Amino acid sequence: MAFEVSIIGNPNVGKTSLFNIITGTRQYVANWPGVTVEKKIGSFSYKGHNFKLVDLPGIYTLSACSEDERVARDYFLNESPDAVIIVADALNLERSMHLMIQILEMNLPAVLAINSIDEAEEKGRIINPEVISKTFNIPVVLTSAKTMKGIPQLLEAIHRTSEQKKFHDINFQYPAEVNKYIETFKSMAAKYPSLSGFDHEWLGIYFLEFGAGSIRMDAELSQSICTSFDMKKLKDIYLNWKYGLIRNLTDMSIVSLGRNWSLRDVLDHVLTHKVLGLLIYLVALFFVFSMTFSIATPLSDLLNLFFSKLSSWAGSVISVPWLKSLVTTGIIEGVGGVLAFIPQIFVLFFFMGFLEESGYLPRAAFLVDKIVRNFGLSGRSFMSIILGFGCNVPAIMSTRTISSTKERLALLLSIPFASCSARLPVYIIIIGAFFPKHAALIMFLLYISSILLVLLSAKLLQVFVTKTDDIPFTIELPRFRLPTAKNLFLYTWEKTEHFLRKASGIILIASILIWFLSYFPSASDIQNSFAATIGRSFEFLTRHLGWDWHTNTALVFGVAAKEVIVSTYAATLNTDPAALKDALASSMSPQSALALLYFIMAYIPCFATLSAVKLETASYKWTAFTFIYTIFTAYILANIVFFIGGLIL
Amino acid sequence: MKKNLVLIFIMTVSITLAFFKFTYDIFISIGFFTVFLTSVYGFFAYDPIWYHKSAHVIISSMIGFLIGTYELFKYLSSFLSKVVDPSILPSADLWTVFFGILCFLVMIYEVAMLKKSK
Repeated sequence: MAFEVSIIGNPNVGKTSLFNIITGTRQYVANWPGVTVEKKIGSFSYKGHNFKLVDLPGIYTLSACSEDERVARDYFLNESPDAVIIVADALNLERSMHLMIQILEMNLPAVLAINSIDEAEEKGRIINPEVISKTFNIPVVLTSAKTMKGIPQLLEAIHRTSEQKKFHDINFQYPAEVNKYIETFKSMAAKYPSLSGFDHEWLGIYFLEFGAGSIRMDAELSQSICTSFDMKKLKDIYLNWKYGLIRNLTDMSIVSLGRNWSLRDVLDHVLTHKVLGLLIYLVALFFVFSMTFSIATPLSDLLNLFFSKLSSWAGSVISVPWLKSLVTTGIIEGVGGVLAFIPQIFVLFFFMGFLEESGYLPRAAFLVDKIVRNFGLSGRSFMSIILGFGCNVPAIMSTRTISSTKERLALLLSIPFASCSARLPVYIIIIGAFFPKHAALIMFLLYISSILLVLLSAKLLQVFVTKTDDIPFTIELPRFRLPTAKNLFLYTWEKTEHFLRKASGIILIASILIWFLSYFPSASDIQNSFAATIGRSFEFLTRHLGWDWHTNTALVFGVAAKEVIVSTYAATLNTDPAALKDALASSMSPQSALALLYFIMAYIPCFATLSAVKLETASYKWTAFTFIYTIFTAYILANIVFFIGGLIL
Repeated sequence: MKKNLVLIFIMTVSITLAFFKFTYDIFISIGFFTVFLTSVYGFFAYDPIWYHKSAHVIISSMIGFLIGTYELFKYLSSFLSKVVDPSILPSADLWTVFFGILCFLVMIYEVAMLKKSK
């Protein structure tokens, strides 16, 4: 028999970690809220039964104010799960209980998993699950996704609940005023056939807690309810009852024996300081880029040397001229030139992963909240920008957690300016060729400029295209954790694997295409090749910036994937990977190279990002706008940088 | 009193190194300047929180340790560079590495003291 089980809880309580343990999958988990923005599905078998497990986004309430909350609420309204695993945080049980009561009010068959019990025990916190279990008549299991504690008990509880589809069978003892309201609501709602599919008691409570805006209900019904009752006063009575219940329950079920401070408080005292915190965050970013250059560049040089030798060897064994050129220039130097950047990608994401996994990232969002508010965004948006440093696609998807649709639109149209990892090899090769002594500094400035560009763009879009409401930013700072080596390497490997997959797919195809366009129609004269013709047709726009046809052709092919810019340079400059930097350095001035770096930072996102924009906006208009807007911005930016660069360099 | 002395020590050494390492490596220099500012805040800024000074000692020494680690990694990776380009001579700034080690010891000591005190 097959059962459907869903997993829900507050953000960053370890839902996805439990999901991964139960299903044996490897969904992305991180130590910051809002990682899961859409439902993910996995499966597992237990005692001869097949289970479908649905991982829902982390939410605080079912109010459906933001996209992720709507996904969760609509799932419970439209599906009929056989069991719902509510994941609560052992160190913050009180907060988790708000959502739990909302789920129980929906009369769903629930299992409560109190996670991170190992951390709670370390701090001397003892939780008695029996108290909660007896009060709500649901199975309660103490778990730890880190130590695997309680996982067999959790599986057993899921199995039993699913088999019986056991509802908790509890009647909440609401205050008399609330009971009177519920009865009236039920009798009124019964007259509306459109509401026949809903549990009227739950609908009444939901309407009381979240108001008319949260659910589609007949206007006549909501109006007559609002005129019959003082909804504000009633809501206060209901919420006071709920807070009281939660407080009593946590008081009875938790005993604290440990000290009343933690190292986290000590670290946060400095790391969330409005001046020092920001400075330290910038130094942390600078540290990551400095490490990327100092550790990884020698390894990258070794890989370049390897590909050069491989190319020479292949050239010596293949005698057919066109095939020799295809294998050496097109494939080995084209793809190898990009693969040589694996060490940098690995090191960058290892340290970025450390910042994320340790819980430092949300602190940065908290620190910059005041600054980014000047640009019409909130600190939450900043986390999407940082996520965009890895790949723009999940960053665009992560904007679903932003409640204001207008802020969300402005941000998702600006995220393509966040400097994704695909641009990294191009930055490294250009910076290495023109600014070897200040490589980390230039890279750091590029990333800071990229953040500023996203912010300015969002501000601009809100002024000219959309207007936004000011929504307060609340974020729960996750606990500081020393990332486990396994998690860190998994995180880094995922990013590196993505890069490798691209190298064996789109980059390989693009490299062969570029080779074809560079080799034909005249193999001996690249100046008259198709590639040169393509590049020359844009020279009237780029001549004053010092970019010749090599650069123009590279930029044209870079639209497919930014890494292809490196392959194109290798093919059109007709050089092996080890000598690419030198060949590039003699092709333009440092001033032109700086302008080029900024152009690459801002111009047309890859096809995958454009698809994500289309998916999230459900509009071809905004997708076309992104295409034109980014290229226009990049061109203006390159001209400004070229002008300023002329004054400095 | 002891914490004040530690903060003064970190302050003095870090600002000196920030000044002298400016031409050597801009990251190291900016990093040391941040260590200096963190310890200055810890020393002068009034804050009623009982672990205020300890927090500043821990964070400033943590940054100092990271700078030392960076210098050490840079030194070790320069041996790899030598394979590609034999003319490269691996070298490290010993002051930065020593300060990093010292910061590590201060950080460990301060955390241990903090755990013991409350």
